Amino acid sequence: MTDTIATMPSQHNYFYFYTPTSLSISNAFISSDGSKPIWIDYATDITIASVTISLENWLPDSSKAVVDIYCDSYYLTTIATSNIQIICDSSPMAMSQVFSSKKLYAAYHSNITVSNCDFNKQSSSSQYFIISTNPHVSVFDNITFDNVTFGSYSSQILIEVTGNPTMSVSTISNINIVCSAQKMVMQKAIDSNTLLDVYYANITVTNCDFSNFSALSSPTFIYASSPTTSAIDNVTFNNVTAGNDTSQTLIWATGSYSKSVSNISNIQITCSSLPMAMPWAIYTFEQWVCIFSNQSKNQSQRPYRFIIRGLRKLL
Amino acid sequence: MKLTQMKPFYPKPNTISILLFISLLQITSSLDLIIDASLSSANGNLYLNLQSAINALLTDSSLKTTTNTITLLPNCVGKTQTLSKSTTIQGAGVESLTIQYQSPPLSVNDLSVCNELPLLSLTNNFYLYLNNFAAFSLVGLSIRYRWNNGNNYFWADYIQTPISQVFALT
Repeated sequence: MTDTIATMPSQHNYFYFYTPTSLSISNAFISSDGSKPIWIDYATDITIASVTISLENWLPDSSKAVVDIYCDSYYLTTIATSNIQIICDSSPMAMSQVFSSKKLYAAYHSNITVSNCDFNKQSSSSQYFIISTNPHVSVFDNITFDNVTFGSYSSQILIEVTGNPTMSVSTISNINIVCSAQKMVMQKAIDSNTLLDVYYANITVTNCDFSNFSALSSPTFIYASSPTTSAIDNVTFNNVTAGNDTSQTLIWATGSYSKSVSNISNIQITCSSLPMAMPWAIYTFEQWVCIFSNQSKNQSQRPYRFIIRGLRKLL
Repeated sequence: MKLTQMKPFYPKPNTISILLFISLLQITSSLDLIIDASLSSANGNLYLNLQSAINALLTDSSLKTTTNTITLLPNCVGKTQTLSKSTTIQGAGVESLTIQYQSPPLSVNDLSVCNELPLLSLTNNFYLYLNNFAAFSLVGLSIRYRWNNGNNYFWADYIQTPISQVFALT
């Protein structure tokens, strides 16, 4: 069990590996409060499998992930995480960072379940639950967030990938988000930034109530910013409630005029029966080519809006 | 002395055998130590605790042998292992070190299972530092960091294949 401390110590403890060729952690239980990271530098192959991670009393000022993989410069690191179960303390806590990787070759995250977590506490630093920064390749597959409360504070993002527009390719697929019964402020749940290619597929969002007042600018749930090509396919929003902030957007895809191609298909939205302002369903901006197909909504619900700005070609 | 005056050294067959035997001993040398919490004093390869077993592997801070194994018996469960000093274990790039529990469960997926593992508590500002091994394995241990006093860390530099399995980090 984790010691109880209120703030991040100036010199924190760690479980540290430098330049391992092949590092494996399996069939393990890890309890963390943000002050005691597993920190891995300049590794070649990292495998983390069949691990239970318990998040307890997460320190609001922690900037360390449970597993923090870091390189000062690009390194041929591949991390593969699979069969990870993440559980939380019953009381609200700041959003934890679980896996953080920077400047590596590839990050593969698959079969991760996060359950019963209430991140309804403010943090002094940006909180990305799983983040990959500047990978050549990143894959997030079969990740479930069940009964999770988040987004009440800015920079609480469940999945974040930030890349290099000339080389980074990312697939984000089979993501299932089930919100808790609490009202939440809409905040980015899945965010990709400046990648070469990004592919979102099979994303389901259920029972999310975004009707808490939002002071955030351009609140967006699924965000793809400025990739050269993006495909967003088979996204379903079930029983969602939007708030009174009419700038709320469920899916936002921006590009850069000269090169961006976006293919958005099979989007289904079913709103709750609660009164709400009309959100943007899909917002595209600065696309060169944008292809829409098979959008639908449950008819008894409110209308939703599309906005397409700066588009050169709509198919 | 002129080079032409030097006599080449041709070892006798017996000398070659001895040299081969010695180098073979160095390559394959191993230490297999056991921690038995029921002991009142160390005896042969049996030791009372982890710190004394680690000390037995070392000359100064360097490993004496290539293959090193420390096995904790089930009677270590419920007795906390601590370091009595900051400990450095130095290799030369070819050694392996395994610290293992003799009867680990198949997996540790719950905090309650941690109580069934031998516990190593990093506390009192003491750290465990490993450097330059071919392999390091940690099997079936629960490791607890205690924040209270600062530098209670585990640090592994240049370990080619670190493996941690069936363990808990709390």
